[in-house]
Amino acid sequence: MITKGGTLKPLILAGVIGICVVHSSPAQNSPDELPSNLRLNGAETVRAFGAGGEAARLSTLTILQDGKNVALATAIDPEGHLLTKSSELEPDAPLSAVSPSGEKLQPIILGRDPANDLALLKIPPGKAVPVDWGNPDLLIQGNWVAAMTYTADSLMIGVISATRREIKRRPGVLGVTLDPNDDPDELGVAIDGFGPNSPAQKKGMQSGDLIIRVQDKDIKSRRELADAISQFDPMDDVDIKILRGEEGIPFTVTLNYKSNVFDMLDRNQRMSGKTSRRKAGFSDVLQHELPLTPQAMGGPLVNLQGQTIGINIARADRVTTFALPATLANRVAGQLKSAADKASQ
Amino acid sequence: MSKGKATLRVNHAPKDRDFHSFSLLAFIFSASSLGMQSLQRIPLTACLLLTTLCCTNLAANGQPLHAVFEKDAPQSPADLLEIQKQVSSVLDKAKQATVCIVGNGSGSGVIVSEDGLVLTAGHVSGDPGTKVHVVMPDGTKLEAESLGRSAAADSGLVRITEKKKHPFVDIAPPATVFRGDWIFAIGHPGGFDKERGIVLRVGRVIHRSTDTIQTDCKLIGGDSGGPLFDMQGRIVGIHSRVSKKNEQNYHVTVRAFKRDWYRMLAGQVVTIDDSYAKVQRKGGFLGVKRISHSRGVQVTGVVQNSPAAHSKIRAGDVISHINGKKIESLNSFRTLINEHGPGDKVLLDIIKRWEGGTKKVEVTLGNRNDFLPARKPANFGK
Repeated sequence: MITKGGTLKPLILAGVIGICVVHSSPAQNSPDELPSNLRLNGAETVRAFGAGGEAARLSTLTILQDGKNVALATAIDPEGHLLTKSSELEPDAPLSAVSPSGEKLQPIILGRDPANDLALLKIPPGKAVPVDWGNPDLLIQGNWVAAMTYTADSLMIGVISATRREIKRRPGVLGVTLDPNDDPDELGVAIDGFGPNSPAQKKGMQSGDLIIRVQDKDIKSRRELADAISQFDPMDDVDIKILRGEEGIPFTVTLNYKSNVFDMLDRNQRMSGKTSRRKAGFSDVLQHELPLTPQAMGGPLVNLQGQTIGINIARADRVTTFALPATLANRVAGQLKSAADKASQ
Repeated sequence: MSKGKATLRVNHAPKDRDFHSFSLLAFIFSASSLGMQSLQRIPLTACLLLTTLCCTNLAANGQPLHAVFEKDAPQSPADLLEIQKQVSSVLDKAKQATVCIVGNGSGSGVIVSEDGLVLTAGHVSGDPGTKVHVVMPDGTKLEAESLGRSAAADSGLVRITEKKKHPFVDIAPPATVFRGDWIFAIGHPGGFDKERGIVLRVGRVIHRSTDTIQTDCKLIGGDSGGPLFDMQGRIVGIHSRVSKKNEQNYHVTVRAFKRDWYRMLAGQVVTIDDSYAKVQRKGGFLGVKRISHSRGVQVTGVVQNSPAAHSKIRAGDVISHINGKKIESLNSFRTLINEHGPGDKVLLDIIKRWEGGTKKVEVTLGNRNDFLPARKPANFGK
C-alpha cells in the first residue's frame, strides 16, 4: 500500500471511479462535428466576450525564467506593480517579463506572501494597463469569466463552476511508502519504497532504512511519523535520522509537493495533464473551469464587464482552476507594498 | 466575421434542426403502461409540441429561448449573458436531483422519478444488485441498489431503496439535442465534497450519434454518471468517458437509455449483441408517424411520397395487423416492419378513422434510406 507523506490514509484514487479515457477521438473538424471556431473556446465564441477580454489582455504580462514561460502576472497599479504566483518562480533564476505590447522587461521581486502564494513584482510605470478591480462577492456559479492563456496571446472563457471556499493546506511529503503490514516497531518506521520524484530517495535513503527521528522527535510508529512530517510545508528542510543496520545516518530532506510525488499515481491527476505544484493551502478561492495550464497562473480573471474579480492561483485538475478573490489579492498586494516601502527606507 | 452578419447567419446555423422530422419518426414514443417509471414522465404532448413547433426551442417556463440559441455562436457579451441567465434559471432544480453514487468507488447520477430511480453510467452502477449509497447534495446518504446496465452504451440504473419523495428532473425526449446546442454538465468530480458542492461546466454539442453525445464540457473521474442538461433543464445525456483532449468528452444519449430501458429495469446486463439484435433493420420503410393504440398503432402523420401516402393511409387510421400478425405495441410494429426489406409487399389491416370500417391494404415497402438521412454507427469501443 502506498502512503502519502508517511500517512496511512488510503489513496484517494482508490475511492474514485475513473472515467474511461477515449484514445482515438474523431478527427478534428470532420464534417459531422461542430467546427472548432464555434465551440466554447473557439475563436467566434471567445470573441463574444468583447471588451472584457481586451481588458484582460491589456493587464496581463508573461513571466519567463531561462527563456521559458513560468507564469503570468497582473498589472495592479499605474506605478508598475505586478502580482504573480510565487511558487512558480525559481528563487535563483533571473526573471524577465513581456508586456501586452510585446516589450521585454526586467521585473524585480519586491516581496512574497507564501500564505497566499503571491509575489509582488515591479516594472517601470506605463507598460501595462492596471486592472479595474471588480467585486468577487457578487459572483455566483454559472457567471462567465475569462483569462489569458499562458502565452498571453489568446483568451479562454468559461464559468464560475463551484462554491467559493478554503482549500486546506497540504503538507510537504518525503515521498516514502511504508509497509502497512509492518507492526509498529519500537526502533522506528521502516521505509518500504519511494514515490516518483521522492526527495528522500534523492538524498540517498534506501528501502529498509528505519526512520528513527524527525527534527528533535523520536519516531516509533507510522502515526508519529505522519504527524511529524505534516507539520511542514513543501520546500521546507527537515532533519531526519535513519538507522541502516547498526549505523545511524542524519539527512536533511527538502520536502516536496504531494502533487509532485504522488499525482502520477492518481488517476484523475494523470488525466489532467500538467497541474500546479502548489494547488492547496488557500484561505479563500474562486473555482472556475477555464482549462488553463500551470504557466497561466498569476494573471487576472475577469468577469463579463472586464473587471478583475480574481488572480488565477492554481490549476488543480482537468476540470478545476482556482483564483484568489480580487479583494484578498488586493489586500496582500497592499501589505507587500508597504513592507517593501519600509525595507527600502 | 463582422457583427453585422449575425442576423443573416441565423438562418443557416449549423444545427441539425432539419433532422427533427427524422428523429420524431424514428423515435416517437409514448408513455407506456408497462411500468416505465421514469420515462413515463416524458409527456406525449412534448413530442406533439415538437411536431408543431419544429424549430422553436422553449424555455422551462414555456417562453421561446433567446435568439442566441439559434445563432452560430454568441456575438456579444449580451448574448453570453443570455446563456448565463438561461443556465441559472434551471440550474438549482438540476442540482437538487444530482447525486453522488458511492459503491466500489465514487460516481455521479441523477434522480428521474419521485420514487428514486437514478440514471447513471453503467460503469458506475456496476453489477446488478450491488448495494450502493446515493449521496444527496446536502450530504444525506441513502441506501440504494444497482439495477441493470448496458455494457454497450454505458448506461446504468440505480434505485434508491429508502421510501420517500425524492427531488427529480425530467428526461428530454430522445434525440432532441443537436450539434451546436448549448448544454451544461454537472456532477461530483473526484467524489463528494460538500463545501465545494456540485460542479458546473457549460459547453456545446460537438457531435451526436445514436448512443453518444460529444461535447466540449470538461469531465474527470467522479463525473461519470452525472447528467448533461439542455437549456430547458432536461436531461439529454449521462457522462461516460473522456478523450485525451480536455474539451472533447462523451455522454450516453437518452435514446440509449430508452432502448435498453426494460432490460435495465429488470436488472439485466445488456451487451452490444442484445442492443442491436432486435433492431436489425432490413430497410423496409412504410412512412408513418405513430403512437400506441389499444388495437395496434395509430397513425399521427404520413411521410410525403412514402408507401403509406401512396396507399392512402391517413392520420387517425389504426394499423392493427401486419401480414396477419397482431400489433401488440409500438415496438412490435417496428419489429414486424423491420423483418421486411425495400420492395417487399406487406398486408396491413387498417381501421379507417374517417371512412369507418376495417380495410386490408397491400403496401410495397420503400427504402428507408431514400427518406431518412443515413444514420451513423454508434461510437462503441472507442
